[in-house]
Amino acid sequence: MTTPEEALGRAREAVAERRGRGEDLDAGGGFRVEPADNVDPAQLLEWAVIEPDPALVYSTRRLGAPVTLAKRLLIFALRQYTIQIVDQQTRFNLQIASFVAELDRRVGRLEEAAGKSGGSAPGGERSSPGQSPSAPPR
Amino acid sequence: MIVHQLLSGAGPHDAVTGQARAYRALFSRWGWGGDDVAAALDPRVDGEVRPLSRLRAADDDVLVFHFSAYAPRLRAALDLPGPKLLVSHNVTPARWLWRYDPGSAVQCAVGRAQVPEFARRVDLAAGVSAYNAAELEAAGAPAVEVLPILFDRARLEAAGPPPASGGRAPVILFVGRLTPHKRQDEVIRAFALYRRLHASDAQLVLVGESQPRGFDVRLRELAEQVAPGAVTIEGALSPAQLAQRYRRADAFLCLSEHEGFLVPLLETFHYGVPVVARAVGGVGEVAGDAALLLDPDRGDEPAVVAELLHLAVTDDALREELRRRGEHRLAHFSHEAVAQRIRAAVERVASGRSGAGVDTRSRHAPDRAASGGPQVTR
Repeated sequence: MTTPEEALGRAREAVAERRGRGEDLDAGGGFRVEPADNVDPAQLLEWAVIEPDPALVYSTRRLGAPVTLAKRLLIFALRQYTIQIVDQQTRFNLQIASFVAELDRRVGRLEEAAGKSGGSAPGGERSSPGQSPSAPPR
Repeated sequence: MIVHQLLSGAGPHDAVTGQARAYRALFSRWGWGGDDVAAALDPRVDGEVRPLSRLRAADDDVLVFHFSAYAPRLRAALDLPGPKLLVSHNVTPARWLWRYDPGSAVQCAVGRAQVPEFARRVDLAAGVSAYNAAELEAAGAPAVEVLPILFDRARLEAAGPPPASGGRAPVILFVGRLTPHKRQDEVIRAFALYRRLHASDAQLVLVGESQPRGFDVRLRELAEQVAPGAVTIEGALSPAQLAQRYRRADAFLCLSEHEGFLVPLLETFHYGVPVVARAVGGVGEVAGDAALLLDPDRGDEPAVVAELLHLAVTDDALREELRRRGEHRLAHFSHEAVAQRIRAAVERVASGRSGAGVDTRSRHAPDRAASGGPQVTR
């Protein structure tokens, strides 16, 4: 019998043995959840474009299908108005995201140059976007 | 005694709403009155739980805040003069949600930022686990206590005889919302490997509603890719259907990255199913020594999970030992024991013996009726 306390160790040993025999222990690819710890400029650019999904507008009531239909018709009827909101917000988001991306590149270049000249980057480490001591590019 | 319960949000399948219901049943048993109100209300629970604006609280009415997400309108109730108990059900870290559910991510991010204010302005702050309570203490709560989730196994269906290992296709089960931080993607991947290494006919059953909507589609696509035809994803089930899933299961696999408590763990113990779980948040303290726990800091690979599943499914003596220990855990979290702790906490708050340095300013705040918030009746 394996006790609960021994089980994890046994499992790790079994994996080590399999690996030693050269077995393929790859769990496969496909969709993998990723936490957003450090959102990089490329991800910001992707998020900057707002795309609300009408399929996510629905009713939670019992027999709510007519309510869902009414809500979606309302969205359709107001689309000229909502498109303006989406466009204006997306314009702002994209400009900001592009600006941050450019700052990030600029900080990277400065840090690279500082490294080559033997100096250290401000703070000693790679600065994150928005922490650049330099003025933004014009 | 009058005890009002205030929720960030209320819905028919929401775990926090379920806890508020269970608390209310106890309060009624003890002869306590009061209302249950929520800042955000799903129409399906309208009537049972009322809008926050309908709250009428007298000066000495006890207010129990069930906090689980950002609720700007709930904050106004902190100004009410009554003694206050905060029950924190833990807020999911937004990092798991930004990419998949931005609306919930915003709520969680701001909700977590709001915890310190609630923690400091109540007479007693309670976490559903020591893990939660530690967060409240760090947030500056003057008095902290652990009030575990109220779990009534008498409401569950009978466990039935334990399934014998061998002779049929093993069934692996996980019960919990289909949501990013619960990592059903890893469950599917580890299961696929278990299937490849040990049991080519094994089946995986995932039970839970998708949140965000459409997240289940991604999981289904992954399942078809790595374990075609072997994964069943089911939404909300009736108690009888859920009991049937537990009875059929040979092992319960949880690879969640964040849990304040994890009620399905206790359900799993009730049905005598061996548990393999990642020991994050409150999982370790709920499971105790009754589960095969993965060390989250070691980042054990799916292959280790697959081997643990194999042990949990095939080693009868190990299964029996886990079942025996699971019964002990259930005794530890018995309904009556937790009910008495809740009663003691509420009575302590009501009598002003929480030991907290109560912010007296909150007891003389202006009436919020004019702003549409909760009202004070004098």
